[in-house]
Amino acid sequence: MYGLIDHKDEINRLLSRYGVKFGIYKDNTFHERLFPFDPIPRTLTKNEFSFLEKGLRQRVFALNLFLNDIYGEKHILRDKVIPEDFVYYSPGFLPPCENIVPSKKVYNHISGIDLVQGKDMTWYVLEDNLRIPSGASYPMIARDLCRRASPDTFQTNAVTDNRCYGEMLKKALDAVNLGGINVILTPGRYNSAFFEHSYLAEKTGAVFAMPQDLFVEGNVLYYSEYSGKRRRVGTVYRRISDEYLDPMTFLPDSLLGVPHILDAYRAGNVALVNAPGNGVADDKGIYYFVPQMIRYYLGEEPILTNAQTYLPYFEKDRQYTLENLSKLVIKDVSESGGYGVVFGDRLSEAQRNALADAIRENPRRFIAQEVVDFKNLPVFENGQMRERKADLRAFVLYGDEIEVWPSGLTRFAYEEGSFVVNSSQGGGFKDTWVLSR
Amino acid sequence: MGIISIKSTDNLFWLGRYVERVFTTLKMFSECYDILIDVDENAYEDFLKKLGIPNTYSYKQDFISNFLFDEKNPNSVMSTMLCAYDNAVVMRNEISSETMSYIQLAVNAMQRGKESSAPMLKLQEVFDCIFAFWGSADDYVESETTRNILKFGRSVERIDLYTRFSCKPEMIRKEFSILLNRLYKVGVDCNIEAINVLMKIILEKDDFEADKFTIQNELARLFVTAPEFYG
Repeated sequence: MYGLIDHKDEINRLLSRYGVKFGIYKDNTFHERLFPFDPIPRTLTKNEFSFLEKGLRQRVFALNLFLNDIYGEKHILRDKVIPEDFVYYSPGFLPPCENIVPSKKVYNHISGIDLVQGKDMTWYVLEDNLRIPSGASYPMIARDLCRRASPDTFQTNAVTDNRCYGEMLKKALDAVNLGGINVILTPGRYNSAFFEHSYLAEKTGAVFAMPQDLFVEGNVLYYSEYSGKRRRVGTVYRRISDEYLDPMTFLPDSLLGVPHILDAYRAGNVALVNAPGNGVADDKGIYYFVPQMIRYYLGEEPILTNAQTYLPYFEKDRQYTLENLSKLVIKDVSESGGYGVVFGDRLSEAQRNALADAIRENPRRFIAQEVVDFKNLPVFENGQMRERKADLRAFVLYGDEIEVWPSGLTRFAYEEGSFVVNSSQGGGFKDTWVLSR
Repeated sequence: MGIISIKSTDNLFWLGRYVERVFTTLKMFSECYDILIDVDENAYEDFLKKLGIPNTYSYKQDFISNFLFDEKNPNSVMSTMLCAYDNAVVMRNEISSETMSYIQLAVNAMQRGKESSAPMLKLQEVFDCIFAFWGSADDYVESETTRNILKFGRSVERIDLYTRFSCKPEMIRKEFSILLNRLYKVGVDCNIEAINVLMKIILEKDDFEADKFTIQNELARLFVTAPEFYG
């Protein structure tokens, strides 16, 4: 372990050499930033990972059943397990996706489930990311460099290799492929996660495509080769948001999408990974209902715990939220990336009153959560050990079967005491070790 | 060979051109820099003229720092390096992370050069990175076509710059024969008419001074990456 700490700067230099960056727009200008790496890993014991693996599989399986149901028969709404409002008013619910059955009935091929471990050692799910979760590439490349930096560390610790993510992803893409090549579709060079798009194309052997490389003819998606030949596409791992994916169906002025790609998908000629419309299942409001979902579809008790959440939509919860604003964390369901998250205790009285008014006016827009005082992890900074709040994004891949990647992206907060771990807010990342014994 | 789009061939071609532009320009700059020290402090004017770049510099030192490092100046070496980076970064899957990393290192070396009190010493690292880039391309780029397009771009740029700097005809002829050898390997349509014109000048004449502009123009229309290839 000390071998890793000693080489922190060199590892970070090598990460920079390999272009391990993320993009950020500030003042309407694109900036590329290095994602600071801390070499002290988060360590999960074999038992701990087995527990998480079981819980994640259960959760992802239930979420996929929910998506099949919502874009199909809607039993869960008819049985009033989830109020209709939470589905039909969700910006993630896409009516054009109604009654489309994706290849092998899989919607959430790649799920990024954000977890934190409380000081009582309980794991809590904070968020499900079922649209285009990013971040797997960072620990993958960092592991490679850490092994070079300190082979002894890996000789003396039985750490499960995490560099299999490319193969796992390829397996999932192949499993749903409807005949043709696999393509990773990026919106372009100035996307915040562009490094990851290109790196995953390299690691999966998928063709790396920009929107202009693809076209639809007769409800079939093709890739234009330089020689003028066309290649049929069987799977698109698209890293473009739903609303920009197809200008003929969604935002008509989108220049990032592929016209008629949804027609090809609807006709069952191409698999879209992840399926469009998944936003309805990772909506912050729907999060509240995931435990009920698990009970409803699987008849099982949820293995993983949600953070204690209140929906101001329900009168009782609204009352509680308004009375306890100063100790809760309030999240705007329409925001992401660490934005729209407000800690009640950090607001002035006037700000708190304004927030209370906003909640009264539009209760569906917010959720409230008890603050999970999650465990600090050590980080090595300026020659000293310090502590930072950190979360864990676990990656779950769903093709023929559900597999949990034996690693994950551990993100830590930039400032001591801060709960905001998002890279766009200046945080860094760690490798996540899963011990094999 | 990998499946690549017409846009990707364009990126590869320009990656080869920009990397070579940085390399040869820095080489020529080094010669000019030496003259600027104590022989002729206006030598940069002729250097710029050869490159066809307007002289927007007020004096010797202004030229040295801004021609090398000014990111906002589209004619600077730094801007060219960043253009190479922009083309490399979208081709990572084709050229490999390893090969891509040498472009990143060259950008870093340029940035260090900017901050150094002895930039010309630091720029040696840029040469080293570019040599390593080509070595890595030979070793890590699996597709022969990809390698050929990259090197085709390099040859085009090299002939263009050698002509501008009135290099010896043998040097230009040698590079042109490398280019011809690759012509049929790139797998992308090339402008045969342009090739014929270039052959007539470079292979048949002893002196190219009078045909400089023709050579540059024909080189510019040699590589066909027209949008009609899109479906």
